[in-house]
Amino acid sequence: MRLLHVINLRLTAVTAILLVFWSVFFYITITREINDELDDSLENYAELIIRRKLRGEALPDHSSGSNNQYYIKPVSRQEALRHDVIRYRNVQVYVSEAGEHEPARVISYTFRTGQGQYYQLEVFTPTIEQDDLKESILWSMLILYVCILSSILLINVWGIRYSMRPLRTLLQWLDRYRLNGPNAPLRNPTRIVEFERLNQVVTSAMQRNEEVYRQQHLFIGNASHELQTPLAAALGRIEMMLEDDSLSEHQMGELIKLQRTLTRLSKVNRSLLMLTKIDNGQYAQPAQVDMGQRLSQLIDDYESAYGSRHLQVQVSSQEPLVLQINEALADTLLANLLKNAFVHNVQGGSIRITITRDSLTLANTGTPHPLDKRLIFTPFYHTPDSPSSTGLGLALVKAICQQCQLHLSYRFEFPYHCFEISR
Amino acid sequence: MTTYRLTKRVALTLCIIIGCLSMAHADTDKSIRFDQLPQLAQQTIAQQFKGKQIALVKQETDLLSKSYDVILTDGAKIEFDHRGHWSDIDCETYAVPASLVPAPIRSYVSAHYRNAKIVKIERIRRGYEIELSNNLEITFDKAGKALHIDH
Amino acid sequence: MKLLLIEDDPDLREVIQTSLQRERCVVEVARDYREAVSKLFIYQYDCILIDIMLPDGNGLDLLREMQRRGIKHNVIIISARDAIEDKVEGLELRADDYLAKPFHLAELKARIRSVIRRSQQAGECLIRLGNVEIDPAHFSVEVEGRAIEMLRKEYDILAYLIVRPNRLISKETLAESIWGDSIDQADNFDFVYAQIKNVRKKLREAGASIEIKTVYGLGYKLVTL
Repeated sequence: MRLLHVINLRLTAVTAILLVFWSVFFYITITREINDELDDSLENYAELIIRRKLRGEALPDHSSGSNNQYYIKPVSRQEALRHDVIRYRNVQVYVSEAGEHEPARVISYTFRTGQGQYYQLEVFTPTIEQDDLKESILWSMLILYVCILSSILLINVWGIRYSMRPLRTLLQWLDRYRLNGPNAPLRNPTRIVEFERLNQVVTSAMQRNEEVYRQQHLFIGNASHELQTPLAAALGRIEMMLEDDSLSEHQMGELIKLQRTLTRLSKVNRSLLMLTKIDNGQYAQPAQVDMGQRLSQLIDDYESAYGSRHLQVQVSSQEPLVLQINEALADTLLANLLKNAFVHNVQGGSIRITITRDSLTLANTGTPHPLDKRLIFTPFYHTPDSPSSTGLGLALVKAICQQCQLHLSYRFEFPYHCFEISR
Repeated sequence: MTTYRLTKRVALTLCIIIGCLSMAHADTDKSIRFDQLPQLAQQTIAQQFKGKQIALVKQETDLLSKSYDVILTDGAKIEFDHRGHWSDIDCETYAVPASLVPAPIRSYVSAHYRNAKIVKIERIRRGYEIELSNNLEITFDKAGKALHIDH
Repeated sequence: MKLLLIEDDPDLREVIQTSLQRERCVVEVARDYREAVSKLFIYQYDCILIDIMLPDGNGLDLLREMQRRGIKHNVIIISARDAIEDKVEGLELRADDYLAKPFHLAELKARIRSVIRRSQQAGECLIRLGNVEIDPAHFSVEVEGRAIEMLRKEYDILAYLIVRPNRLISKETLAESIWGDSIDQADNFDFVYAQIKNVRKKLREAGASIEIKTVYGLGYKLVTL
């Protein structure tokens, strides 16, 4: 879920930075405390020694068992004034037991007795344990940091995922939604106000869509019925009249012309209705269709029908073009393109069809000038050489391509008019 | 991001870093001259410990407050708070100047421990804590009433 | 044959009724759903023609009702709706055929005959005219019991004409039925003529008692000799 990642990233990034600051601050404070404790113990020890010395009492043993060591020596007044009275230093001290140099903290004091004698006192304590302590604190903090960050990350992921469940449910429902299919009602109970609102808005939008769709469906059905039924009656009557053997040839000819006209009208109706249906998305249920296969079936029929024109048909297909498309639409698309190639061709012309994995191109010879690509796909566009066509063939092709998200283009590569549909 | 917002962010980060670093500065004691003590402290020393010589004066900086330690050449140590009021007087071998000890405490001690001397007195939260020459520790409240006795 | 025609448009109803009556069928009519119901479940018919779009109901509901009551009729759905789902649903509801308006009356009659024949012969659908017999299941043609070889298109033409005997079928209509909608833009129908010539030749050579006649150059008629 990308939203999950985005939110998580932001939350975690901010938290990570804050934790860094906190960790640094914490570490510094702790180390400071450790240092201060160390210094305090040295200062107290030093004070003890100074006051004893001042009172003239015995001083503690130099190595009294505790880790602290001291050195005290009388100094001249100039030397005493040369340095700061109190000095703190970190030094490396050679420790005979360990046989090596180890870090230590030193405080030196310069003080004056009542007799006017200046003394310099230095108090040492090894800091190796404190250093080790600081190091282990550092490691612990690092580990803790990683653990906390990971926990926060996981908690965030869980929390967000859980909260976003209604959104996921809604999206899944939308994915499965089909405009003219049976749809399970949206069941997405949630206490979150925004998601509940989203549910409502989506449901009512879909309901409106469905209503519109239903109305259009009904309208088209009615329109078809109202248009075609009178035509059927008229054509039927003509057919009955044709059964009369006593008609003259002329009369029969007229009746047949009449029949032809009405049939043409019926075809225009059918095409218009189909156009409307396509535009309104009334053709769903796509299937896997091998366009090349379908096309070759049609080509056989057309070749014999237009045999008198002696057209050469060449099909080159590197890979099959398989589209997810409603079968009836596929047939109409191919039939119209093919009919176009046959009808608007010249005597002895040729048709070249190229099929690739992503495109289908029909190229036919015809008029020697390029066609106006802005006009040819508009409904009822007639070229002068075929007045009897409905003028809707290419409009249907365009509508189908739009509906199925295919790209349709025309170009003129002398002497071929090339129509290409592609993904 | 506009320049203004960028600057704001950088400034904020710097402040935080500086804050952290300043906190890292350890408290160390510093030696000061006698005349750098608060007036009140100087007065107390001059009046109550007349004639005594100073061995060492230090200033301690804690998290929020300063305090001063004066060590005399006879080994006594007096601690002062940042305003110059004494907070701990430790004379160890001789008695704390009587005028520095609150009257009720003095009378209590002279009443109960006639032969003992107050060698140390400390201001604590509850009141006062004193140490006698016989190693007794007695805690008093602010009014001077005895609260507790430790051996 | 006794037929029931359920169609609300008076014009079309009259045309179909007259045309079928010329075939010596008895044709009852129903104007709407209500009338259809009253006739359908009382009388017996050889075949029923139902228009889906009725003013007070849906023709498919009639089918459902018939199915519910367990009544079996031969049913042909005629519809102008041009909707695939009607066709699918209709056939699922045990309609025997589906015809879209506008249709040729000859087509309608052929389908009626075919439906009845199917139910009478319970599956076996041989078509006989004269001494010619066609088996649609195997695409075979026999004359006087002897099989004759026919190409696919030739067979299609013969099979089409043989169920519409003595009717004038225009060249366009024939071409459309055999070659599909593809042909309506063809300049001339010589290709039809070429196939007809072949069929004629084969029938003649086999001694068939049926013949395809050309009518005024406008169309063809299959007649028995």
